Amino acid sequence: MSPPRRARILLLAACLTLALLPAGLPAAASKADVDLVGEQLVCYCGCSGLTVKACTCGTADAIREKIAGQLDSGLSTADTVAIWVDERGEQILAVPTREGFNLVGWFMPFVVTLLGLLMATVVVLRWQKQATEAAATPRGTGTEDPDSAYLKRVEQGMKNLHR
Amino acid sequence: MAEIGFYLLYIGLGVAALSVASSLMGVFTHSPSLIRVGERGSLALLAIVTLTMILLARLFLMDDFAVQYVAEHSSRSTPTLYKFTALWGGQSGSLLLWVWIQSIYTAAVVLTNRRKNRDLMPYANAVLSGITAFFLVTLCFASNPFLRLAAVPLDGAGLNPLLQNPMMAIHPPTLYVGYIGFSVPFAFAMAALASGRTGDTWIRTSRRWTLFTWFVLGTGILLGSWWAYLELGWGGYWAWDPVENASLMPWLTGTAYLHSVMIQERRRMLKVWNMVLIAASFALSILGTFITRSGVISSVHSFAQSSVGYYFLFFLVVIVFSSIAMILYRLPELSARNRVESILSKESAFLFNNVLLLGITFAVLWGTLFPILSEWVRGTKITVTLTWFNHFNVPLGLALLLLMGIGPLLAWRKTSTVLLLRSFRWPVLITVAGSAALVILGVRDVMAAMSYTFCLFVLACTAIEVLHGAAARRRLHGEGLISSLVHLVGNNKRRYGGYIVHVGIVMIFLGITGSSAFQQETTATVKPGESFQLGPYTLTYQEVIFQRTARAESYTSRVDVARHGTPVATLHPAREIFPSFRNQPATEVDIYHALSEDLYVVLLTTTDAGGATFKVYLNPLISWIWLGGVVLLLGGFITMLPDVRERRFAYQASLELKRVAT
Repeated sequence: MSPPRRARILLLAACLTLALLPAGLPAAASKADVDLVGEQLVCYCGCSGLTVKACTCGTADAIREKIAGQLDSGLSTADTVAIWVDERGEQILAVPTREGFNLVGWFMPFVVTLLGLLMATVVVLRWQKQATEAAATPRGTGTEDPDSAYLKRVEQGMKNLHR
Repeated sequence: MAEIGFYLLYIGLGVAALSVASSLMGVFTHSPSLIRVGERGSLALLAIVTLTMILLARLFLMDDFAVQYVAEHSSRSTPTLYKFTALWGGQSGSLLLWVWIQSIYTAAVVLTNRRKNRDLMPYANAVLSGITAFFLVTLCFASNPFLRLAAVPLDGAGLNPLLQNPMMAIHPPTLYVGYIGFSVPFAFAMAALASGRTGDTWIRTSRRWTLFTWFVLGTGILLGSWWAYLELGWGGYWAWDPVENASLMPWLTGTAYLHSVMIQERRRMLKVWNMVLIAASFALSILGTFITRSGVISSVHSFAQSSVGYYFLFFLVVIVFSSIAMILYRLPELSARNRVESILSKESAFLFNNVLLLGITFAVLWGTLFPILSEWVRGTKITVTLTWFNHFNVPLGLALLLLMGIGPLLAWRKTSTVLLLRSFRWPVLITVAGSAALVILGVRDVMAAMSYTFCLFVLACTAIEVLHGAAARRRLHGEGLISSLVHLVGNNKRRYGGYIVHVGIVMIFLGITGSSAFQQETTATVKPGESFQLGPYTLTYQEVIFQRTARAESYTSRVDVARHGTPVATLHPAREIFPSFRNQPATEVDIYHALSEDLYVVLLTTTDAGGATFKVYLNPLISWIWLGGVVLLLGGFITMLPDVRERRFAYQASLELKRVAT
């Protein structure tokens, strides 16, 4: 089913449901519900990438009004969001759904960072082991390399500098 | 006049190319005179580009709408200040600004290295002039600001109203100075690799340039956040817009570099890593420029889509591959002599700090590019916003915050168990007491509680470290507390300036946590004289005044604000409509600032009957972000100041080198 057709059917179903409902239902959508939908949708005004709830532009005003109308017609917040997705595509959602390829998007930075931390830990622990083994090995009595003697002096200087 | 500017760009390109060729030929033929020609070319380039900038500014001030760029970004009613800032309000002008700043950097590097680093300078100058030449190519062949229109309009389109803000006069140039500044350490890194002088000289030479760049880019990011807070009217300051992200990424890798470079200086380790970090910082600056100018990612900051993006993509590929090739070529010479000796050491803490900083950078980059990746893979466009970025960056940021407390108390090489217990005893006790207080005070948001706890831990660790230093001075020199603190910072500006930066970061974390976890908001439609409430504040709407000027139509409201019944302020949130941008009304928010919270009032709409709809946010602790930013920059500034001891040591080291050589 094409998205516009599905949207039309959903809207028609919503209107029919509303017409058949008994009197006494709330006449106006609560602000909390409008906000609930608004924070799941991104404003398409193109000026800031903010959610409909946060954006203060005229486009966001119009979207919020339309959402209120949809909620007034008896649609649930989830149905309202679904209608917007059908109309505008997945890009209207403020965050991608947690399914399929999107899961790669949701978890990749954690995976990369944890791998980085793991690698750093393994490398440091290996170096630590090497350093411990080197310290345990008796040193040779040969004359010291002049280059390393110079390095020692420079390091001593650095120590003094940061003392 | 436009024609002169048009041809000056081509002359500049010729001079830049000459400077590159002359510098490199000078090296290969061992000709100091050719090297000097290259350096003088860089100075001449600055003069040429400066003249070009003056010409373009003059065209704006003269309202010369025969020039397409002027007609598209200015109008007769544009105030003089904004006529001047309109110079960088569009694609071509901002590229020209980039070239100008790049040529200033290049000339400054040439002038400050006339008698030193002579082995590195020809390569460094060639790289810097090469970068300038690339930008001049884009100006000459893809986006020339001096192109003329066939039919001259009577008036120009005017500057985008969002850009008509004093902050916009300084925010873009500041960011550019930051972005472009990374070209200097990058040039010295490439020079070190090309010349084979892969020791610490390039690091010592470029350290202050990197600090300056980091400082200015940080200032630019803060100014941008402040501008977004004041101007965009959504109550926040950072929306993870692709271009905001583009400025943050090089700053993060630059921060990682400034930490890891200390390990190279102290222990001669991480040479490859430092090369990678500085190349990544510069490449990310160019990536940011590509994002802004290619139109591949939609952003509030984007320029119109043009072929310039492809130029930048090509340049980015050249930077990445040439850096990798150079590093691989010198890999044997970059191997470290030393190793990290213990996981409980400062080196190890710096290493983990680097991984976390790069993890955050990756998360930001991933979020910026994932919509494109998704479209390629699934053919479906998706959007990622604040929630998505916070999902990654809140836990990673908290881990980094915790490490910021631990790192300074660890010793170089190895921290013994005794020292570890002694160092962390008080910070841990203070933090546990603070956490208990948070629970008693009713903080139930887990992330907020963790953030405040870690902030307290970092402050306790930093305070104890500083007080130990001050106590040692008091014992040795008999100084008072204030005097010992001043001398402590003065004698080791780098170390204690760094701690001040840490305190600034903690203040920023406090502000971010308060304003995001405990923000309150309300929307109210009221008639004159009616009141509404948000938290302890009562807002009474009085009136709205309509004004029409040549520049804009404005609706300015008057709202009296009382806190717990006591009047504290009268606010004037407004809405402006610019003739050329009627479908894009600009909000002019008004804010009641207090140290504990901001009351942020936005005028959404007005009715014919004199009523108005307001959106009001209560942002706890948000001022701490800006105060923290100032403290961070102060710390950064202190680390940049000349250090007498450091200079003395460098002098002694050079004498030692001479002695060894003879």
